Amino acid sequence: MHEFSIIQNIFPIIEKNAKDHHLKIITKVTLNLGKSCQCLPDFLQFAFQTLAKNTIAENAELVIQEIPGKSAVLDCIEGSN
Amino acid sequence: MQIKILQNLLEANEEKAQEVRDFLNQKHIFMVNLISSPGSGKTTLLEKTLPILKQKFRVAVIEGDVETERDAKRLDLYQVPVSLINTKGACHLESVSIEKALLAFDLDQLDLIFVENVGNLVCPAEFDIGEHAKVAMLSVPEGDDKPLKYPLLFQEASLTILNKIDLLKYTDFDKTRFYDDLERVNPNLSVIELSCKTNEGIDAWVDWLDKRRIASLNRLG
Repeated sequence: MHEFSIIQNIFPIIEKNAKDHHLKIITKVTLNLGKSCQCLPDFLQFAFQTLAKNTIAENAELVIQEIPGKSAVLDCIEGSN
Repeated sequence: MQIKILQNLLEANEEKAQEVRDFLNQKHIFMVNLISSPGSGKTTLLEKTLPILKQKFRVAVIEGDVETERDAKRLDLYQVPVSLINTKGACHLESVSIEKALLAFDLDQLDLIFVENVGNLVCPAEFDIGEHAKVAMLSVPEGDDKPLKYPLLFQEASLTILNKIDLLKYTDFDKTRFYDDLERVNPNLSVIELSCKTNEGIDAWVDWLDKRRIASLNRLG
């Protein structure tokens, strides 16, 4: 139900990690999503495309992996400098 | 280059919820998060039980209401402290709103706090608000299929109240199917069948609260 707020939370984390590792462009973002998290992957994709505009992850692919439980975890990011 | 992050995105709410729970534990207060769909009888249940509970405990209520103060006004008659959270459209309460609502109470003068969550079977189940127990309430006219349709709530809950059992004879509610489905979703879940019209089950509910509260206090040592 709260796809936009979950996606909103990931951008500051992406920006910080990219800066720490001197990445200029993010190409892939992997999210581990609990089966009981009540979030729809399609909505997450839509939220990501919308909110990624004008960020370092603007053209990144969002990969969503299903895990047990109800958590939503930013697993990893990939990029280049 | 791949960077491993492994950061929980729901962490902020969960950390705040734990702070709220730790604080309540210090004050020896037991907090119950009451969750149901709109109209299943949360406020009526509180109206029925507050006069009984008041004889035993010092009770307060946090009312989550999307738009109005109607439920809070109904409970004002029972002369217990009531703190209203208007969510302005939001579909659930989060721990940060509970932290603010607690400021309205003298916490040294309380044993038990009820949180009446926003009427919704989906979102409130996702958010820890610092409670000691979630109670899922369902009423007979809503149908017996709700545990399978909203499994997270029934997995997270410590108790299910089946309300309006006086209406069983007028509906197609299938109790066998209801109990079978609950068993599949959460085999450890206790159920109290209750009617706020006939008062059946009210004693069992008060008894459950009493026992859970004592168990929670004992765990703290």
